Amino acid sequence: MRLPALARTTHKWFALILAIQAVFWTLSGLYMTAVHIDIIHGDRLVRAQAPQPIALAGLVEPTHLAHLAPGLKAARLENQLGQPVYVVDADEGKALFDARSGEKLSPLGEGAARARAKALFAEDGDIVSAELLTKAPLEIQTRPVPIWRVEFEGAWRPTFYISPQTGELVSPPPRPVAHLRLRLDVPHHGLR
Amino acid sequence: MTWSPMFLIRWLHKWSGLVLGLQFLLWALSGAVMALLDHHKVSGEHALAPPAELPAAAALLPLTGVAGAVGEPITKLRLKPLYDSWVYEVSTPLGVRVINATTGQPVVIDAAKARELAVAGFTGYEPPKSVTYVAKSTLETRDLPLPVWRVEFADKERHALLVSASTGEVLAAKNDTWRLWDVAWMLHIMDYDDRQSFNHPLIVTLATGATWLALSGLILLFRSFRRSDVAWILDPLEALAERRRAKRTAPLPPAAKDSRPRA
Repeated sequence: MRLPALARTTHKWFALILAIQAVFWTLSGLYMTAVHIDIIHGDRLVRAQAPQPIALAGLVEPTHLAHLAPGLKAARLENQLGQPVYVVDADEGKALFDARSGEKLSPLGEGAARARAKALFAEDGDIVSAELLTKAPLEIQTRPVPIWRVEFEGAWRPTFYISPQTGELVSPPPRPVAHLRLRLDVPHHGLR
Repeated sequence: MTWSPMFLIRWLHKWSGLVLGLQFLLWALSGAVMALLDHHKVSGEHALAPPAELPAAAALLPLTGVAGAVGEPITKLRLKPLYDSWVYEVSTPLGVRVINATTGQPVVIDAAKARELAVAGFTGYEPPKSVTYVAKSTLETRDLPLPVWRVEFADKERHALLVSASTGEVLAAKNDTWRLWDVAWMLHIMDYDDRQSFNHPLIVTLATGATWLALSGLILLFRSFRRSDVAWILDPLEALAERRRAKRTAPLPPAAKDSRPRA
């Protein structure tokens, strides 16, 4: 077979096998390029907070943390909802302590998770639902469970995932991407 | 020649293919490279050792001591092991400071300390080849808070561990697999300078063209196949059907049987 004829035949048969996938690839590629990554990551939805100085007087001393959490690996003192807290990583996993009283706050209940999400949300919308998930949804499938899912009213249904162990926002709410997740996902390390 | 819809689609498919052809090929090739490279190797995770477990420190500096040693308002305080000692990593409005958690002495991440931390954080056994200070963003450090120390090792993959010059933390490991992956990534997202953005007008335009190419190709498929293209499968099937039908309707005379072609 002459080369042009061979190329034509190959083109046709490859197309027959790959056509549907090629449409998915190009459509998903177009979506990923056309919708800005900051929108996908939901960066605008998280309130930018200037870090506030922590009032250190009367707080539980770091030396005492080894007694609160045996096998202490690391700890962090920060403000959550205006209150100083210790986030500790120890043998039994991560946990949250009130830095004033030393009282264990984790696992956080629904009220605390709602308050935390509300404080982090950059817009004014109200919370539509709060649910403790025991199986991680696709959006945050690599994260440990159980995890609080707090959904707000508003376009694209902004969703915050709050860790009951640490009170942290687990991942920026990646809302639109979940709506059109086709093959060819951008490898994660390429993004940030 | 009539400009039927099918003809128009074919014409547009051909010309957009001519314009986009090279980039289409580059997308396919760079995509294949990224898919085929082992992503564990690309991420450098095998090169990074988990932090050593230290016994709990007997007496940690109290909070007032920390405040005194730092002399600035504290917005966040981290207690963590840094290689062989417990340290406080103190965030202040002026930046991050690291002090020894027992003595309160500042921990300075100089070249020697960075080298020590990198060796402790590297899973390989090869020695470091070079230690350089990086203050201006490079391809390897573009996602990292600067400045960092770049500690390159003498292994086959040419691992470079990037150690934060302010906190001493090993932030990332880059190797030759990642460097190859990164070239493919650059070609794929068409951001040839920073290799960062895939949301620029050039790529959106070309992606629109590529989507048209794929969609029109799918439509054209329905007109592209003639019976002669699939004769190799239809011919034997029809022959078989014909034979069964002939058998069912009437037994053939012996003479006709011999004249039939053999399957």
